[in-house]
Amino acid sequence: MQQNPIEPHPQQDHHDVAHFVSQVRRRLDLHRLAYGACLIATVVGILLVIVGLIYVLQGYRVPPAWYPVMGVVGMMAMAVYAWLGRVATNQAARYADQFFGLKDAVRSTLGFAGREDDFCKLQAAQASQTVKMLKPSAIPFAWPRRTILAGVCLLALACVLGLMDESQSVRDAREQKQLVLDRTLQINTAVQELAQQLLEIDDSDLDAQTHEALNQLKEQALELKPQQDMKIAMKQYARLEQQVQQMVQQMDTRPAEKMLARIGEQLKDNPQHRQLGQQLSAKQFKQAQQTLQQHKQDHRLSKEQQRQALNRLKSLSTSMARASESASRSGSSSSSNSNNTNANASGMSGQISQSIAELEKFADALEKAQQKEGLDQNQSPQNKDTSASACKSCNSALGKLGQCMSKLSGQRKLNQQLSMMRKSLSQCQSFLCQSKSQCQSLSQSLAACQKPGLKAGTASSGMFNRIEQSLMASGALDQLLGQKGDGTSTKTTEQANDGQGVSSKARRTIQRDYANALESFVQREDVPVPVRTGVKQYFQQIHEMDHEVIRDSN
Amino acid sequence: MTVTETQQDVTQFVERFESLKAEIGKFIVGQSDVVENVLIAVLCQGHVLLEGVPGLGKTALVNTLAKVLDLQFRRVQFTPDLLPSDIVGTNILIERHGDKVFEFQPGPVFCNILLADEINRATPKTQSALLETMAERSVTVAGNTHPLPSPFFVLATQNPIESDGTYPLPEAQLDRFFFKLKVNLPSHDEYSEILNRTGGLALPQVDVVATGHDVLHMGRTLKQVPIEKQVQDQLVQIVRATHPEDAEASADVKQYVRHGASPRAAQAMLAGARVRALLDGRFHVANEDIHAVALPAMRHRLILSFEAEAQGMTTDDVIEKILKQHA
Repeated sequence: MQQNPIEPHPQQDHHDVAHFVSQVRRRLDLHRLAYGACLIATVVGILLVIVGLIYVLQGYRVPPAWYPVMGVVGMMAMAVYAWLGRVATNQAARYADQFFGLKDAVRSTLGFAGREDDFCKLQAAQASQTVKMLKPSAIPFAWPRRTILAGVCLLALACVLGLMDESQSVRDAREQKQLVLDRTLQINTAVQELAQQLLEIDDSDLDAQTHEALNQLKEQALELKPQQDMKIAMKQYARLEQQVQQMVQQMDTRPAEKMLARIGEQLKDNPQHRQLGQQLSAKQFKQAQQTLQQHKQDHRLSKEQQRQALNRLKSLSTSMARASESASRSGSSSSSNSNNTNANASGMSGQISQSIAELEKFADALEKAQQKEGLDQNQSPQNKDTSASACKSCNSALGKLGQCMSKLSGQRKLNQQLSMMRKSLSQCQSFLCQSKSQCQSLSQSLAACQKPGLKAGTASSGMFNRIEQSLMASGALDQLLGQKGDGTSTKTTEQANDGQGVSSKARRTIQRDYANALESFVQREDVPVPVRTGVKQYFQQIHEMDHEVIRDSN
Repeated sequence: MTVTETQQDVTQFVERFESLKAEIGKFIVGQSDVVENVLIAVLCQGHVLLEGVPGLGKTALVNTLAKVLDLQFRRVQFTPDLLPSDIVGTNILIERHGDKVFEFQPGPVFCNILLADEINRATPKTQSALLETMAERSVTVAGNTHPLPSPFFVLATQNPIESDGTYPLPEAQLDRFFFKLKVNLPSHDEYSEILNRTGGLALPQVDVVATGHDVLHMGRTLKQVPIEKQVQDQLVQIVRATHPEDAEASADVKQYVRHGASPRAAQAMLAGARVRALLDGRFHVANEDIHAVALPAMRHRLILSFEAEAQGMTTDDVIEKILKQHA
């Protein structure tokens, strides 16, 4: 200092020092940015590895979107880091003083800016001379080697994790979900069609309550949603099946049908009423209603014709009343055994019994009126009116009985449809549970449902063969043979030696085996009582229902 | 004054300082830090307390300093029976023109450099007599104030190992010392050099290098050295850090310090740092200058707690820790 006098140029000196400081600041910012990039890359690598491990350990493939997302997040974090961590001028000045050993020269020069005293000018000039000999590029940057190494390793590991394929179980689960979704879509469509078919039944014979129940059923069918979860899907179909089952139980027409069948058997013995008897036995209630209308009385006919018609009616009503009475007796004894006979069914048979009783009563009244009219020589109009009135009552009773039969016919049809629907729903659940390889088409499953099974022990191996032949003719070989190499063949006939011949086991034995198995199950103490009761009722119901269906189909 | 003249002043300041130091070094072997700090204190017109065992050249240093500065030098050997009037002077009854009048008889304190040898041997009453002279640079006797010649420095010495028959200086008086310097034992080479220089017939002779006027001029020059705001803040932070009641004081300070440094310490540090900046060829005070003068300026101004004394802690230890924290 003493040897080289300083010539101060205040503005230039300050500018030189400020420029030097800004260069130092830029370099420090650059270093900080580089360090931040390494650090953030490492953090991004750690996050990607964690995310990747979460997916891979669960068997999933890492979604590729994570990589650009984390990249963008990292860039944003770096921008925020760089912005928030900018080196201030004072910091840069202090760093320069420390790094270059300037003993606060730079900081002081910046601090003395604006001061005009000689010492400040000399100080600025001295600092300016000093910084001119310095290069900010001499400030070294120590790359964080460990951080870089860790970041590179982590990013590489994240890439490896990203390339790993998903596990077989996850693929299977996804395919299963898609399968369930597709199947529920198919099933929903099929069930809704079935519900629509229910509404298309001739409903002139059905009451308003039944209509309302049918509409509710349809609404529920329309509310079915496609599901990915097997359990939820099964639940919704089971719930619908349960409701259909309740409806089937509510519209149980069997007591009335039994009564009419018994009446029909009774009437078959009478040549005059054989046609009606056959119709009733065959459960052709619509035709039976029309046949009944032939027994209408007309007081305008000749007396002889009136008498003949009355005799026919009388014999009919007497036979029906007798059969009804015996059926009611047997019905009351059977109802004591089964508690689930519903009010609707007993009401229908009761109405029929009541109509028959009224018919008999009015037929007797008509007979008396006709006798009285025959004995009356004066042909008084009073007797004629009495006879006409009795005649009208008889016709009314006949009409009422016919209406009962018509209603029964309608309910029976509806009941059959509902049973079909219930079985279809059951088949749908089976269809839903089938694995992909075992899967029949839904139409096949429903077709199988519409081809009713046979009651245990009632079919012969010959019948099985007939069904088999018909299925082979229709091309549904999967149902018979199964998928090759996948599971046991459904072609095996139970207890037959080779599945082709006649079963060597008597059907009674098979039936007894089934019965024993059921009994042993329902008597097991480890099975809860509600379950045992449910199983027992279920088998009773399908036993009776299948029996009815077989008879109808025959 | 132009920039060139200022620069010449600074150059002259450094040259005179170096020549003073070199001239003193002719007689005083080693102890360069002590010599330098004594000179700094003198240039700042501050008083110095020299502490060291006997025979280390404390008195010789002061004698030499007086010689090279061509200043009036007095020495007072402090003893327990020394009275205040023995130092500052007293009114004596004299006969003048047939009348008996009181006339002020100046004491040894009326000089430029007063050597108060073994100052801790005098009673507190006598020690406190120096308070006014050191702070106000004047003496008041019988209601009359008598200014001391300028420049005026008190260079006191004390023996740190002898405690019998001594009276520790009160805090108020200690605070009036610019620096407290510890005179350490010389090294082997320095011992040899001492023997070489003083073992012959003739003692080394020193010349006058500067005058009292020069000292005052140098003092004016150094007061112009600027200090940047942040550097000054650091100085204040260091001084404040010695106060245990300060919120930012360290745990050590709270534990070991009973009373911190006064604002006089900050003033002394700034003045000393300015001299050091000029000596380093700079026109501004740096943090390093402050650190360099922190120990001599504050070591006698801190009062340690009993716990610190029990653990053998010294004020130097505490100050060094504070300086490390504010590096």
